[in-house]
Amino acid sequence: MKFTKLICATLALTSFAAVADNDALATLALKRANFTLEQAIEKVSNDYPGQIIEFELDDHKGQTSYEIEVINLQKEEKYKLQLSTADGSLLKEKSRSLKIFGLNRLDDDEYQALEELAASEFNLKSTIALLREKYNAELVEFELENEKGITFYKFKLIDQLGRKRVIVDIKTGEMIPVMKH
Amino acid sequence: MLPYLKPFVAWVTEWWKNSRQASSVWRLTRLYTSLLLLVVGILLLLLYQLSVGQISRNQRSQMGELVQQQKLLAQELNQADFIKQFELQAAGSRQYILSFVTQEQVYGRLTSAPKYLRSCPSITRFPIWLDNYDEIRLISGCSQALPQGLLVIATDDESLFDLKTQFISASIIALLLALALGITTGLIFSHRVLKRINTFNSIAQRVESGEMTARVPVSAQGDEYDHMALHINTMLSRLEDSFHAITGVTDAIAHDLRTPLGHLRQQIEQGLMDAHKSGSPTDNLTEMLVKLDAILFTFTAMLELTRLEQKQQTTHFAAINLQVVINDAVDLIRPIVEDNHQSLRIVGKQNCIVQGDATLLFRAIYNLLENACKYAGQHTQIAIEITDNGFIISDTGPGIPDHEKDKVFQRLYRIEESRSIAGFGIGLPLVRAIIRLHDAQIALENNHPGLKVVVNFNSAEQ
Repeated sequence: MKFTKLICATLALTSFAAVADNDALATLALKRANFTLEQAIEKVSNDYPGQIIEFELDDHKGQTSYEIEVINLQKEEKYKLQLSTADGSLLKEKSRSLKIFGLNRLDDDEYQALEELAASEFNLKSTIALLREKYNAELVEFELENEKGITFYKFKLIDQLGRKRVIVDIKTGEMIPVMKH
Repeated sequence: MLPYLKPFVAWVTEWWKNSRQASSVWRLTRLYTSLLLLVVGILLLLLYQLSVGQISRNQRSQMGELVQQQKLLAQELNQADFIKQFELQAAGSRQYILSFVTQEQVYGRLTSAPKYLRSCPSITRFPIWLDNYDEIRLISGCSQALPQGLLVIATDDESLFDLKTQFISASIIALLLALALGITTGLIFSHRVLKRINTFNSIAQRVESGEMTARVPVSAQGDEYDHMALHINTMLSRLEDSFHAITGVTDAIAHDLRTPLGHLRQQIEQGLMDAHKSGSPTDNLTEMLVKLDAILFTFTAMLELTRLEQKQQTTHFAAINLQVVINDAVDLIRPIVEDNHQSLRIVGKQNCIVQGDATLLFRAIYNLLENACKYAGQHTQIAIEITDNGFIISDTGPGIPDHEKDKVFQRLYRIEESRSIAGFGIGLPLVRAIIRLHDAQIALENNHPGLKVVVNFNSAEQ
């Protein structure tokens, strides 16, 4: 009992420390990466037909990796891939069906987002390149979302000033204005 | 929306075409429902215009004023001063989101302006991202080109939009409810009204078919329908009285003349016997006797007809095989058929069993066959067919013109062309009285050429 408590406390502490220092580490890791995010995106879209719905930096056995999630609507499968930032090798692959007992895991919003993305002429790779150039920042996370009938990618960028959100509308390919307060 | 609209419109017009021939219940219901829908629709539209529409219009006009103000200022001020006042204005205005896009920079509360924004006063709905709340918001705005750059003005009307959609869905529900209410209440009311009218119709039908005693029921409500019912009942009573009077007169004549005519007959017979004894010629007297017998026969038939028409009880009815009755009648008529050089055949060997009185049915069938023999003329074909629920007697004679078909069932009525043939116009009324007593229908149809008498029994079995 005492032992488990100790483990919990240690875990909590280390993870807290990790969050605080995450941004700096992530930027560093991305700057050092030999295999760029664009390359990773290209590799994934070539090897895994479907739509990339999520990306984040992750840790795989002490090594920084790109964690990319792909959904293939035709095969009704979802892939979770980890690619090495060093050489782009596939470190881990996890796939699971979108259906459990005939029911779909995806809700209507997610379905709509995927369908709209498939129908649009949106190019993820060029958008990422554009964002990095425009803001002179590293891209650490992005995610496909649908809210109020608008499908968009939510990009998280880090530069010297800190974190920054950029929202890109799939349909128009334009950036959605952010309101300052 | 449009692809659904087309089949819907087609369906509605089709339905409208079909329901144009519908009964008055449906017409009344339709009128009532459409009026109800119209009233509810107008109310909803009014309500919308006074609430959501009003707010919307206010916002538009205020946005227009702001645009005009900025336009004016842009003309008056230089670039730096304009931007200064603009930033103040943008920071101060909570309700309206203002942004000004120059080639170098974006001022105001938005970080960028969507390219697809239409120029004022037409409004575009576009999404913006709220970093503080981590959510998308849909706002309405427009852009205005100024010499210094592009002015973007928008207002967060998402709640108004939600209200609008809620209002619309609530309106649709309200209209559907009104439709359901209209149809149900309309149907109920129209049914109640039509039920009374249908009672009148069924009574009229019963009277038409000879049931002179039928009367319209009068309710205790004392409304217009009851007034009408009372009038109709009085009318029917009068009609029944005069009907009875006429039959009474003919019956009385027949009855009263029968006795003296009977005596006359006896006297002629006596005269005949005397003439035989004395050896004087008897031709004259025999002819008189034949004519007198015909008169007596007519009187007897008329009295019998009255009796049959008044007869209601059918308790002595038994199951009768039409085949047997028809065979008897055909056997009896055959000598006359042969005299006339006609052919008579029985078609169809169905086993048709009806509830009835064998003697009366025999008379009816014999009468019809006799008529066929008498009026069809020589060298014609007569056929009697036993059907599933009755029989059909057809001939290839001249037939009866359509306008005479109802009249031949009247007492003592004779068609002009047949006056030369002996008869008194009692046969067919008698047949109809018998057929009616058996709860059956008789109809005269065209046999192309000739006449076809179709008799159908409601009680027929096989």
